[in-house]
Amino acid sequence: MAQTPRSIATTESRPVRWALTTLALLFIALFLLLPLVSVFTEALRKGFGLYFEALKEPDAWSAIKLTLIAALIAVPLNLSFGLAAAWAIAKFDFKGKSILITLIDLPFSVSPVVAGLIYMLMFGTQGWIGPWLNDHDIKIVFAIPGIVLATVFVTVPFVARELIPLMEAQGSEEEQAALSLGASGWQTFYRVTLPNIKWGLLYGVILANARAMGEFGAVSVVSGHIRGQTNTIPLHVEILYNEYNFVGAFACASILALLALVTLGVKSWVEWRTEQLAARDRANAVDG
Amino acid sequence: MTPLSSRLQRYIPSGRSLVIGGPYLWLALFFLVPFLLVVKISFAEQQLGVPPYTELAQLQDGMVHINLQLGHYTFLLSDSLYFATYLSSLQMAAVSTLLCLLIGYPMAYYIARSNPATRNMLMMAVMLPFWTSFLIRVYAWIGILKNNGLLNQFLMWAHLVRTPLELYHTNTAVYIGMVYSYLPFLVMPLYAHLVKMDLSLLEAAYDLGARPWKVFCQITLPLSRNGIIAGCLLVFIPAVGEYVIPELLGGSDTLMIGRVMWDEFFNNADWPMASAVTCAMVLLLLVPMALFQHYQAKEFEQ
Repeated sequence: MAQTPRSIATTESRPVRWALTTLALLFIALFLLLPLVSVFTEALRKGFGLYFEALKEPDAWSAIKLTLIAALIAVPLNLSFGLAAAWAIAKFDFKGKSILITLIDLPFSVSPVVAGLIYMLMFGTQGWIGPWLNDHDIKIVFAIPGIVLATVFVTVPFVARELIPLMEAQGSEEEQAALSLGASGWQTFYRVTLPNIKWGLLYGVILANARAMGEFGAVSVVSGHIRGQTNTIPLHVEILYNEYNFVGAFACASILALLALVTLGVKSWVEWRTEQLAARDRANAVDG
Repeated sequence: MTPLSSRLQRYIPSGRSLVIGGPYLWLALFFLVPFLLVVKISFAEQQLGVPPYTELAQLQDGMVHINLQLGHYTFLLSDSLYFATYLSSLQMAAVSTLLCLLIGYPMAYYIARSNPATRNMLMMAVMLPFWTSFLIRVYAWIGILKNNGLLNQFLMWAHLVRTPLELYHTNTAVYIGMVYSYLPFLVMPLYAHLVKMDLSLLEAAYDLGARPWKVFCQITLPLSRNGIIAGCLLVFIPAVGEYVIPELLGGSDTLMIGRVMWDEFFNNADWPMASAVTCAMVLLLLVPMALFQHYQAKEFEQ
């Protein structure tokens, strides 16, 4: 969409704008970032030495690894599920559509504790198919598969919930136009639908990812709390905190934020580099 | 196309049916089947042993005996504590959602209206807390809210209060924790709607002489309605079942259904009762939602 120069009419009057700005920035700073800052202060309270000591802890790293594995499996699965579900609901009419919409909210409307329990009831040693799994030496609860399942469960609705209203508001005129011009279903999706929903999709993924990495209740039930093996970051943090190892707890939690900041730095550097290279190529092309 | 490939084509499901069937299968396999198991257990009786509940149907002397224990549900209805807990969960979630909306709307609005570079930076700021564990941020709030915590130290230092405010282990602390944790879940869907809004509509309204407040109420608000609904649902539904925040920040009198279920399961080992509590909660949440969606779909068609 071409950015039209903004007219005076659509910008708010100065006092309103000023009030909005202050309010928004104040809340972002105080409410969202203050606890984050306090996490880092707590982690560094006893100095950098102890902080790095805590970072070297192998149990902390295994917790981080497990959390990332669970998120890496759960988020793409739910991304494809959410996309398919939102597309089906927003663009097609079919029998049982309202059932599908209601089912999407099911994982949300049970407490995360129940999400974990459901899998205990299914796959636990006393559970439904627990004995069969035991005979075949398949471990689901108290092992990684159970953690992944619980994570999938609690993150299911995010992408779909974010996309359905967006796609419904969009209607399907543009898609119909593309189809009537001879585009295939896949082309229509890739060229027309996807660009229209990319922001909603991105935020859906981010929210799902946030929940996947932060989930405590559901994962706590199925994990079995085996240190260094089935503890995710939240579970490991809880143990450390309850052992009064505050530096360790806050340090463990700060690693991902640290990694994110580094990734962000690298990403901007790469983007900046590519842009520079592209500019040089363009210049060369003009010269040549 | 050769006849063979066209014959094959018939057996390969079309893209459309795949797109519709996939989500169904996914939900049925991972959520519906396990959930039906919970429904089943809620009608069983607690027993000592493996599994800790009785079977519903038994084949005895060529007769099928079906035992449906409705006691858990009648107990739920008759016991005022459960009723109060459900009510208080709904109320806590509703108030948190409303607060999130009141705080989140101006935030999303401002971010969507600022220029693209600032916009991305502000959205990053909204997302940044996600990179530390949710649990540790709740712990951080304990450090801020407790009697000798950061907030009270600041208030005492500024001579705003004489005795420390009692916040930790109260419902106020739970509200603060909930609003803090769920705020991004409301800001993001709202932002995704607001940022796509057609500004020329606002211009037209101003040209026709509308006051700013009227423009907001009659154009911006209705256009962002879907974003508000999506965001509020993302906050409200998980908030009802929230376990960590009331457990860590709330007091002993903070009644939330997530805590009751945890106790029922792990402290009392009463699986059937816990299952019944769960089913009642799902009914309580899903039925109004289904009605709402039905009503909305009708409105959409008109």
